[in-house]
Amino acid sequence: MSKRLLTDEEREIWSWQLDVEGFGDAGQERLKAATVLVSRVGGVGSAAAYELAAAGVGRLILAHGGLLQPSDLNRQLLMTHDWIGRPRVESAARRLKELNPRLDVVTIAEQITVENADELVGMADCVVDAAPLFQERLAMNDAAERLGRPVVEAAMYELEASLTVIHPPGTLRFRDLVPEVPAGWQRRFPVFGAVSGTVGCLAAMEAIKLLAGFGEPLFNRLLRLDLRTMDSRVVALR
Amino acid sequence: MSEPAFSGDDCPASGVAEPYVRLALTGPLRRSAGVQHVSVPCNLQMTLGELLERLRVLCPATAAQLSPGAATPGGHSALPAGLLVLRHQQLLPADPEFAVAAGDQITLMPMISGG
Repeated sequence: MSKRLLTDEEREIWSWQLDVEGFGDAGQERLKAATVLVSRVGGVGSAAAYELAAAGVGRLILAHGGLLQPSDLNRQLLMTHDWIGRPRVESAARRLKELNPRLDVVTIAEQITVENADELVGMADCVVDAAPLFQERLAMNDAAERLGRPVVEAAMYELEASLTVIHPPGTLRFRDLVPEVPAGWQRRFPVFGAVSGTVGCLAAMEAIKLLAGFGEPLFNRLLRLDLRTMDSRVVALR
Repeated sequence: MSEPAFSGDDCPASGVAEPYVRLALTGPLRRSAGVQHVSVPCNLQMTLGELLERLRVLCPATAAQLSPGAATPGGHSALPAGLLVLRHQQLLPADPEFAVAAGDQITLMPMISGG
């Protein structure tokens, strides 16, 4: 991963995280030089993108189609009520730029498909997968495997959250876990924003660790949280 | 939430005196079943495929999610796509012929995709 030197102003903005052991100026410079693809910017992706912007990632590519619906507002934290009926991804870009005006945001007003996955994944150093459909996750992971990009797999259902990092050949492939679209998965799922936001923040931290090169990402391990009971487990996948 | 398949914490098979495999359900599987734990009677051992078939019978609302995945190259039917099976927190092979035994605690953990 390349680096971009920090200005004095940037060093001041991120001064509190520069003190994190193992991160420092070198880590911050790597974040500044990095590009992350976030798909989509719903409940999980909004929180992830917001934390990545706050942390100083240089460029975010946001892929999310459709117009903002009232029912999005319980969890999609980059959307606002006055934006209903307008493109979701534009609302997300606007809010991220308010937080971090230095951020370069690329908006793609469509979902990830097998047709566009290679191009979009190829533009990024790392992918945060927060898509609600397994078809999108499979397309994104297939492209990432071809291109050698790591994917932070973040998902939730009701009060459960799931997180792992896929980066073959060092890890399992996503298709080793999900060979095909599972039967019975439904597009609409029960969700509190506090749950999707929790796993979105955790996903951002995994991406930051990958990009800055510190800590121990969830390679070949799957974190599963049950916020109903606050039980957590880490499953060894290999 | 849809009506639970069974009232109380467990499906009707629980509480029986015979040996059993204790199942913990998570995610959409738990929601479909309407319960978190199911006790499946088991004499000595059974395969994962047989265990899932018993669960389908005990909790019919799980049937769609437990339908077998695409056949393996060897022609054997696979476990349901995206279903992780843990025994005492250890991930088991996605092999319907894998044996489990009476007294095992098995967690069925479908991969989830809510974003």
